[in-house]
Order: sequence, then structure tokens, then C-alpha cells
Amino acid sequence: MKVSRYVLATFVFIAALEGFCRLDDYIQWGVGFFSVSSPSNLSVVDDLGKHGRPNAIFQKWRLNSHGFRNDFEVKKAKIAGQKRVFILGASESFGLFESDGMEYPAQLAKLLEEQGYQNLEVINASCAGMSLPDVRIYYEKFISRFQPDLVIYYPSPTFYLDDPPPTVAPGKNTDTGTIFEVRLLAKTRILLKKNLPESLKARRLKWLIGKEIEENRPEWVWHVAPEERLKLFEEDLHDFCDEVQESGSKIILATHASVLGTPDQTFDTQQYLEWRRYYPRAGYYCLLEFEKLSNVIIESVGEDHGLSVLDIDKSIPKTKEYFSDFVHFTDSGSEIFANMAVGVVAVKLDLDRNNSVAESMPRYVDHPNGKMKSKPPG
Amino acid sequence: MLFNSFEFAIFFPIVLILYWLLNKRWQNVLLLAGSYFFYGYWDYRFLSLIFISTIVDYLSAINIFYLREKGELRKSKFWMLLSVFANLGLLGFFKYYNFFTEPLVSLFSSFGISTNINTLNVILPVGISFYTFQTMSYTIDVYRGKISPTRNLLDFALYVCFFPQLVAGPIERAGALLPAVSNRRRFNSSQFIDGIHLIFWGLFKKVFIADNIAHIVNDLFALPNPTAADVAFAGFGYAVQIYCDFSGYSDIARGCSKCLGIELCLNFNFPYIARNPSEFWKRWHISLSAWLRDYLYVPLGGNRKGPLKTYRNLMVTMILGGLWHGAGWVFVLWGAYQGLLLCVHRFWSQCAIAKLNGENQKSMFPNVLQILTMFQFTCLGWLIFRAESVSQLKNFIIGLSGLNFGISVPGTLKIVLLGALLFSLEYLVVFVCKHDINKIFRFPIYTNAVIYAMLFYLFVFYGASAKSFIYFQF
Repeated sequence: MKVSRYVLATFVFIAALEGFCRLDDYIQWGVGFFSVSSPSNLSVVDDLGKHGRPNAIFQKWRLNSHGFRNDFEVKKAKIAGQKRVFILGASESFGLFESDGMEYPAQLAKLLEEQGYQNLEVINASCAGMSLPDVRIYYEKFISRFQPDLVIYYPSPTFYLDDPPPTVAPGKNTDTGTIFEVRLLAKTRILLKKNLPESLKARRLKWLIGKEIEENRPEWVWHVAPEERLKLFEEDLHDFCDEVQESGSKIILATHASVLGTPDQTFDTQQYLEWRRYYPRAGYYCLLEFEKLSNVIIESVGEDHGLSVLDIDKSIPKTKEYFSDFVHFTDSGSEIFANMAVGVVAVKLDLDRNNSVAESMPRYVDHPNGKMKSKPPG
Repeated sequence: MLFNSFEFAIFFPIVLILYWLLNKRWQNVLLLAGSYFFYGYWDYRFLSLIFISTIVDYLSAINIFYLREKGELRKSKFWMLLSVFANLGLLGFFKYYNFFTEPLVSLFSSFGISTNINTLNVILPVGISFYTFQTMSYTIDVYRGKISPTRNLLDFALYVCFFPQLVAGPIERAGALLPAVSNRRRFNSSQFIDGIHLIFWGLFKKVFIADNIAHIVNDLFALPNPTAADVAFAGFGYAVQIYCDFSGYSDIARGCSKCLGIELCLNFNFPYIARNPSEFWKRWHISLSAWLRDYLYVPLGGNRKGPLKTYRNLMVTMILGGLWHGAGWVFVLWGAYQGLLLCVHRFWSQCAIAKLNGENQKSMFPNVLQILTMFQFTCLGWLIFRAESVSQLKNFIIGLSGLNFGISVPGTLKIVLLGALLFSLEYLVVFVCKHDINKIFRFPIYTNAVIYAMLFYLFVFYGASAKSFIYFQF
């Protein structure tokens, strides 16, 4: 009898903890006590590929009825004179570690507003894990209906180091979403990840990576950037740029920034292991080289299509101040991105603005053959 | 390793499970090995100091007893003094070397004498002030004939370095802890559950209240030109922080110890409801104040040699008590301040006016006023204690006299909220449960499950990241 009382008390303890998690979410984020709120529920995979789930909420992440990370609703039809900028990309654009409202699309929107640009919507249609094929299908079947004037696409080339490489499998939506989730588990996972000693984290990652490698042949691991994957990335990027331009929208690309190669050796090793966890086939030099060559591809595709390319890779210093982890930005990192984008957006959209703020705008250089590369402010 | 760290969360359950699977002798071996591992985790080099202190005091006590039995009191005294000077020597070197050499060098150079005495970068070993005092009390008690020495080196070594209380107390008397360590322990479920309760409360106070207040208090103390409100909040905030930090640690220490079947002494008894300085020191860091009383104040003469000598003894005891906390003039000043409060209280309590007031002691109003007044004096003392330097104290005085009530640090009002939470909980225990915290532990099991789920949630998900305990620096 006594044992059963203690067992029951333990259940009460755990249930109370779950109750306090939900109460906390309600007080902090306004998430309904009985609502579904989990990180995995923020995205959905259906015939549009992988994209944001409409009306999903998890802590600071709130998606509107179209699955965009905006705190306003977006009508398909634009108001007369309104300009729309769509941001597409994966978790770097969706925003993971930045404070709420400090991911670069939100900072860009704020900057444009502060600089007096009116009648402009910046819509963050990114989603964590959204590969280039996902972006293309999503744009073709969904985003294009919103008549974007400009698309800013920040690609995540290392998806092409996945096994198999990214494709979109068209099909019916089989994802019903989470019906019920234990919020305590998600919070505990996040807490453990944050507080586990670095040595244990590293050990765990090495073990996981080692396990994957063991299951395959030694040649399975890439030590140099695989050419076929670079080629695939380049083709998909060309196709996407064609898609956007054919729909009548303009497009800005950006080179991909990572913290790999930072002088802080310990941080570099930690982040390499975290990154490799997702792409166990890619050794250190493969990752570095793939990043570098992908950026060359992005610049070359941009030149071929007459696009602006934001050189994010060279503009954001590879330090903890700007990177929360291997590729995700801090508030400061996102700020640099937004500052780089704002002038180019204004020029691309030929926006009207208040002349009094014009003098404070950073200067941008026109490329001799009409293509523009932006420079970071300052 | 810190009590509020991932490593301890792994270490303690492992020790606990193994402990209760072993018999008494092996339990002590496990505890000793665990304690050395616990301490060595910080810096294994400082284990040598614990070994030295252990061996010196073990041998000294046996010799003291043996020589006393033979009637050779002078030789017995020699061994006692050897132990005291060895321990004070360790403490003096590691803690006070620079504190004494720097003024000495300045003094000599003011007379034109150059010296070759160099200041050193001496690392202060964690817990040295605690375990040296603990072992000294052992040899002194043996010398006084209060206890017999133990011939079991294992038990004695465990008494010296028992990990729950090794680095920040309570400073245990050998008469209490040695028998607990030497005797067989039986698993007692009530004691074990009480231990878990104490660990929860301790973690809640330390991780949720103290650590969340810490960064605001640090910002307040870092202000170059604080306003009166900044100074007031700094004092109040630090009062809450140091109490929650230190009493939280003591609760965790006692809780861990209870889970191991060993009782440690109560170290904090709701000090902020003290009505006067004397009562405060019977409630705050009880083990240290009792140590100072028994081994310093009373040998100096206590209150047996007339009022003037009593005041002298109080001042000396408190100044040295202040110095125990750290090698700095602010600690000396704080000690002197506490001594002054005690002297003034003693003087007041012996005056006719105070005797008249005694008739009113039964009514609530004067008690509440006394508690609030004493709390203000305590907060003022904490301002002195926490100040980085004497010049910072001057800035506080200037700030207070400026009568500017603007708040310079954002989030300062959080101090008020957390302080209010703490005092509400203490009120619950003191006035509703009549000082008996065990009454809370005796709530229905399911009520306790919900209460502890709340505490657990707050300190796990809202606790600030693991910070060291304040008293580790002493």
C-alpha cells in the first residue's frame, strides 16, 4: 500500500510538472493550456514539400494562418501599390537562437520601416529543414500566388551532403500533426542540450557519428567536396532562379555563412561535430570545401541570372558573437545580414522613401556590367 | 563540483545507491573516496592540504590524550598548540599572506627600508576556512577533555572531509559528527524523505532566488555613482542573495547528509526575524558563531570579567570573525560593525530603559518594529561586507545622502519580488508552522508532490546558470 502511494505521488509529481510547463507557456507565450505546442509541429510535409505549419505555436515561434513566421495575416491579393518581399530559406532564415523579433527577416522589416519605406510587407516564409527542392515546389505552388515583388533566398547548400540528397517527393499529405505532446519532454531536451558539459556533448556526437560510419564502407565518408552534389545544387539553384524570374518576381541570393574555420579551435571543433551529426558522410575538409564551392556557385548563378548576391559569408565574422552555433546567427549576426539587405531591397524594389532619411543610407556600388554586389555598411 | 551542477546530479545518486548497498565499514570507505573525489574535482593539488590537516590533527589528538592521561600537561599543550598553529598556518598562508605582507612592505618602505618580501599569487583552496576550524575544534575539545580521540584514521579522515559539509560548512563538532560517522547507519525512510525535502528547498533558494538576484546585485554594486535607491536595493538584494545562497547550501548539505543517514547541525534559523544582534548571531551561520564563542570569546574571558573587557572580547571576536570571511579591510570593518552592534545591544539591554521595555515584549508591535529595525542594520552590514573596497563604501554613503530615488539598473524590482517570495515562505514556516519546517514536509503526500513539482520546475527551468556559492570564497 505504501509503495503504491509513493508510485501514485510520483505520477502526481510528473503530472504537476507537465501542468506547470503548460501554465508557464500560457503566461510567457500565450499558448493555450490544451493547445499543441512542440518544435516538430512547426513544420509540415505535404504536396508543397516541407514548409511552415499554419497556426503552429511553440514558445516564441508563432506562425500565421499560412505558416509564415509573421505576426500579421497576409492576403493573397495585394493592396494597390503594396510591395511584397518574401524570405525563403531554412532554419537560418526562420530564426532559431535569436531573441524574438531579431531574426534577420524581422530586423530587415524593422529597418525598412525605420528608413521610411511605406506600404511594404516582409514575409518570412522560411522553415527549419526546408531544402532547395522544397523551396522551389513551395514557391511554384504556393508563394507565387501571393505575387511577391522580391524574393530573398538564403540557401543552405549542405543539405546536398545528406544521404540521399534532397528531393521533393510529391504526394498526399500524410502528416496529421501532433495531437498531443508532453511539453515537459521538449523542455527537458532543450535544457539538457544547453547544460550538458561540452566534453559529454562531444563524446556523444562522436559516438553517434562513429555509429553511422561503422554501418557503411570506409569510402562512404567524403574527404573532399563531392562534385556530383555540387552539380546537383547548381542545377537546382538555376531552376529555382528561373522559376522566380519567370513568375515576374525579382530575386536576391546570398552566400552561405558558417562558423567553420574560426580561429577559436575549441569552438570550431565543437561546431564541426554538431554540424557533422546531420551529415555524417562529410569530413571536416569536405564541409569546409563544400561551403566554399557552394558560395562560388551561388555567385556564379547570380551573375548568370543578373541577380544581386549578398556576400554574407565574408561579411559576418566567424565568432561566437555572431554565430550561436555552426550556421545559426545571434542577434548581432542577423543584424549584419539585415543591414546588408536593406539597401539592396530598396534599390531592387525602387521604393519611395522619406528624403530626410536618404542621407543616412549606406552607399552601394553598381557593378560595371549592371550587376550589383552589396557591401556591408561601414 | 557544485551542488547545483550536472556533475553533482550524477555523482550523488551513484554514491547514494552504492552507499546503501554496502555495510558500515565499506560505507565509510565509499564516503571517504567520494569526498576526496568531490574535493579533488576542483583542484586535486589541494587534497594534500586536507591530508596534512588530517594527519597532524589525528596524531596530535592521540598524543594530547595520551599525555594528559600520564599527567604531562605541558607536553599535551604542546601538541594542542602544534595542531592549532599548523591549521592556522595553512589558513594564514593561503588566505592572508598578501593581506599582511602588502601593508608590511608599505610600512617598511615608508621608513625607507626596502624589503625582499614578494606578494604571491596564492590560490585560495576552497573550504580551507571551514575544515581547518573543524579540525582545530577537535584537538581543542580533546585537550579540554570534552571528547576522547578516535584511533580510527578512516573515521577521522571522513570527519574532516565529509563532502556535504566540507567546503562551506556547517562547521561540525567532533562530539556530534564523529559518533555519527563511527556508528552504524540504518536506512530510515522518514529521514531520507526529509533529506530530499531539504535538498529541494536548498536548490530552490540557491538556484531560483539567489542566482537570479545575483546579476542585478552585481550590477548595482558595480555602479560608480549609485543613487540612494540603488544603495538601498543593493543592500536588500544582497541580504536576500547571501541568505538564500548560504542557507540554500546548508540545506542541501544537511539534506544530502540526511539521505546518507547522518545528521548535521542546523546552520540557519530564520536569521532575518532576529530582534537584536545577539539573536541574529544565534540564528545566522550558527556553527561559526558557536565556534567563535567557544574557542575565542569564552577563552578571552567572555562576559565574566566586567563590562569593559566584555566589550573588548566582543569586538576582538567579531573582528576576527570578519577577517575569517576574507583577507580584506571591508571584512575587518564588517566584523567591527557587528561587534559594535553587539556592544551597543549589550549596553542597551542592561540599561533601565531597556528593562522597562521588557514589559512590552509580549505585544506584537514592538517585536515587528525590532525585527524591521534589526533587518535594516543587517542590510547596512551586508553593504559593508559586499563592498569591493573602502572607497566604494564612501560612494554608498554619498549615494545615500544624495536622497535621489531613481533606479539605475533595469530589473531591480525583481529583487523585491524574489525577496517578497522568500519572506512569504519564511513567514509560512515561522508563524504558521511555528518554526517547524518539518510541518511542511508532513503535508499530505499528494500536496507535497504538487508543491515540490513547482519548486523543481522553478529551479530547473528558471534557475540562473550554475554559479558558485558565495561562501566558497571564504
